[in-house]
Amino acid sequence: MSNSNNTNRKSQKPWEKFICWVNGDTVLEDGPRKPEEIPDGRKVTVHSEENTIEGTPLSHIRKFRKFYIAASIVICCAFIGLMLFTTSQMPPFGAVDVPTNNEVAEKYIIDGVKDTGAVNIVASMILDYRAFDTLGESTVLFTAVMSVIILLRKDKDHVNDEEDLRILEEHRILEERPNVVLKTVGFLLVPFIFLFGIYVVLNGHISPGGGFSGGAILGAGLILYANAFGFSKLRKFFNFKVFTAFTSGPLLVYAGLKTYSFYTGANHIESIIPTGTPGAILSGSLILPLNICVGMIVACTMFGFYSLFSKGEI
Amino acid sequence: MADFIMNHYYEIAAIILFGIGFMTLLLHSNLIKKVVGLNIMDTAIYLFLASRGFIEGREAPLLIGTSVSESGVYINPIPAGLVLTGIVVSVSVTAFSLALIQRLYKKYHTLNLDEILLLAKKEAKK
Amino acid sequence: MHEIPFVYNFPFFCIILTMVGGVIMPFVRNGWLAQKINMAIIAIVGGLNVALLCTLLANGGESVTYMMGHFPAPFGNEIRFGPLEAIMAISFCLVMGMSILGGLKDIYHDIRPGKQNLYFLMINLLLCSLLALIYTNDMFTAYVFIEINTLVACAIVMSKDSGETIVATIRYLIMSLLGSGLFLMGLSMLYGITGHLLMVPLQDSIKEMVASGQYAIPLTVVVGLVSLGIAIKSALYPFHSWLPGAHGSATTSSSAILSGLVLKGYIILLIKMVYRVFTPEILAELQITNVLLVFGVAGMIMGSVKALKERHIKRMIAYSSVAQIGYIFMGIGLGSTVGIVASCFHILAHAFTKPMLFCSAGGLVDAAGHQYEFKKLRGTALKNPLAGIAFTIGSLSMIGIPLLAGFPPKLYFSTGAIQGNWFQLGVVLTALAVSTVLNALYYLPAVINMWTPKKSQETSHGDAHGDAHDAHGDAHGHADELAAVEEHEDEHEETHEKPRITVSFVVSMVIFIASNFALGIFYEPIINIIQQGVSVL
Repeated sequence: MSNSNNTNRKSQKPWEKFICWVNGDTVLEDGPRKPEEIPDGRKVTVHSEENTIEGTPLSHIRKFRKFYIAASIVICCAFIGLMLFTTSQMPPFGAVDVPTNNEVAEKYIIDGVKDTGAVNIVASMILDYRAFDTLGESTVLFTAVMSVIILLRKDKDHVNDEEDLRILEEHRILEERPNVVLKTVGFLLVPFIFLFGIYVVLNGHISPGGGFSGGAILGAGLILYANAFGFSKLRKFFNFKVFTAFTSGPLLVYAGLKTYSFYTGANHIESIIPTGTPGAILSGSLILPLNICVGMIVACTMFGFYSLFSKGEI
Repeated sequence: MADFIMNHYYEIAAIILFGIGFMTLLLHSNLIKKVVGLNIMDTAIYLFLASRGFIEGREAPLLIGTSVSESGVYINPIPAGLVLTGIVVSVSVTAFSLALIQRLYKKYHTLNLDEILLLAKKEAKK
Repeated sequence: MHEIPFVYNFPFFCIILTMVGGVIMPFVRNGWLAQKINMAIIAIVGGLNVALLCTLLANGGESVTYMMGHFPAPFGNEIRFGPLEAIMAISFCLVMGMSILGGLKDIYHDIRPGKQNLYFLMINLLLCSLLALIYTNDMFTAYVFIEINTLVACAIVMSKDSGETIVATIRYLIMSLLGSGLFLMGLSMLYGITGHLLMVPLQDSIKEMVASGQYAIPLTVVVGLVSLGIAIKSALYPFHSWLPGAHGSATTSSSAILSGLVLKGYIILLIKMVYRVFTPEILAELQITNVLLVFGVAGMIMGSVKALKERHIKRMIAYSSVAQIGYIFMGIGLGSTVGIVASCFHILAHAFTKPMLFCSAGGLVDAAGHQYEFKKLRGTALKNPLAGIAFTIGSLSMIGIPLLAGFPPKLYFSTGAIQGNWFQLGVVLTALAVSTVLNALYYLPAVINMWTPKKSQETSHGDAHGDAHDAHGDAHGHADELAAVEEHEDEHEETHEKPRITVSFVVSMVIFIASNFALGIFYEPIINIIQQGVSVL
């Protein structure tokens, strides 16, 4: 029986070692180390007061490091070579008779306007035909901003260390004595940025753009506003509560609207939402409200990232 | 060979970019550079994906001015939508990883992953 | 167009409900309330899925395609569900609820009060993404939800705010992103050669392609990239380096959920892809199954060897996950229906056992005063007997003792190997034997250690370990061990010191133990459901 053999072999000579091991003492030497954990040979010299890392001598690690670099170069080159060879077997770039140019793409182009009422076929594809993906995509953004809040937002029992205090001091000085150029340019530009952002969001279904690009423009406008006029001024109308409401709220509306559309679609119920005249601003059934929701989420997320990274709060 | 390059120059660029990103990811122990490498890789994939939808001599799928649409005029809209999704995902994960890096830098005052691993091990032993 | 039964809307309701449950969490300022809402949502989703499973079985175990929107197959998104998906969803809900209850004390201990609501936000979204991965019928939806899953999984690791967890998270995140990058690259190529994203049209065009011999090399590379991406994300052996750190350092519930469910979500997606996109015949033709078999076997052995060397209890359990993932990939690598069924059952068995091990280890660690080393855990099972019993049962189940959940999959793996060719027979049976021995070698010392009293350490030293040796020595040893364990339990029923065990922990452990025995004893009906599910995949 391999089981008993194994134990006996171990126990004959180092019987006490085995007892130690069962007891949970550290007796076994470390095995071969994984590449990801191997410290960079150059950097390790900084810590040269220790001759070993986890029991592995430094010379071994250096050797392994060299091997690791060589191996990754070889693997990478082999990978690129394989991929290039694969590419050469793929359908050519820009040709008409390729597999991707099939009935699906044709249906989106030919029936897109009739089915969804949106002139922008990409918008009709991501917000109507494949809206579930886009719902997931907005959720990815939401998840990311919430994770960043978990990581970086300071809560009540947070103690400011020296560095935090230094950063806060810098911000205070900046807010007290704002840069005149920044402030003037901000004063001139911010209204137009917001206007343009709103235009791009609202016209997502009839021109290039949509919630994602418009939202990014709005977010940039918010960031410029905060920098030119100070976070404290922005916080008068955009505090954490507003931020939460403007991130979660639109996502809830989005989920609600799409629930209606998915439910009616799957149960073969006619949707009551009109598609409108193609090309008009009030057209494209749910695409306009969805674009507005997405725009709000993206704008808040962009600003939230910036604010959390720079100050640790919103 | 020349035929291959002429037929596939977009994809070739994408694959080489992917390799550059991959190498950056593997060989740098600086965390910011690792994230940059990941971003280059992602961008390469989007370039590859976008190139799948292009058709020589056709227009972007915006039916402005023509309410009646016809096939044979517009490029394939699907990769554009997929790339849009991919970009949003990439923005999110980049923000998340940068937030993690910021926390690590505040704690250990270094961006080198190996040094951070070493310091974290020491801390765990205490 | 025929009407669909109302019950068939349930999977979609489950996905939306969990998503909405996550999105409203920022408005819930109180961690306690957030936890109650979360439990309610998990219970509702579990209940809806039970109803779904009953309806599906009553309708002859059919598989249903559900349109997400007004447009059918190649144009709009779809989800698809059959008995396999429903039973997986039910177990995932059960395991997730129990994992949270089992680690509730640690959640309140490890996570700052102001951020507990966001932890439950992440749990809700995690369930949402897992359900979407189980149900999806669209490769790109799968990609999007893989990304949500990655972000959320990293978030629940790092929500225990310490340097160690953040280091573990960044490594986990980088490896995961590499995995999803490769998956997306594969997906782009697949789209390039087929022009489809939904599974059914994909399968049709792949079949056509194989028949005509066109694009053979790109197809092989696509299968390789997609499998590699999923293998990295589910910690198949050579790509497991992120796993022990992430699972070993997170809070108890997070570890339990990560190893019990998150790894499985990707594997279920892989199984769906094997059946619904690439088809097993084509994979066998491309030799991909054999590659998976070899990697799986390597994972089984190497994961156990690494676990053998580990002295940190949670990291040891985490390495054991690497070994168990190896089993599942080995089952897929057999390339036969029996292998896939065994893999699916092993997903269930591992999903019910590993969280139990993590939660009971959490209880033991708590009894030892938040110490993770084996040395410090000596005698802790006597302080928290329930956790000790659960850990013992979990260990025995992982070793594969009959009557416990870990046994039936091993039986079916062997059956699958015997039905396969000589190569499979030899490799799989050897790997199973060696891996079982190794499992016993690292789990039993831990169990013995925690049941050995601390005080009389010097005197009882030799005896206790003589027993330990016997337990290894022969097969009957396991039974002796069990008996010894029960004796200990009786002894200490009276001297119940430090009863700091919460009600939620008791509930969670009792349900985990009961379901472990249920899976081990009444496995045939479950195997039947899985078989039915696989046949209509």
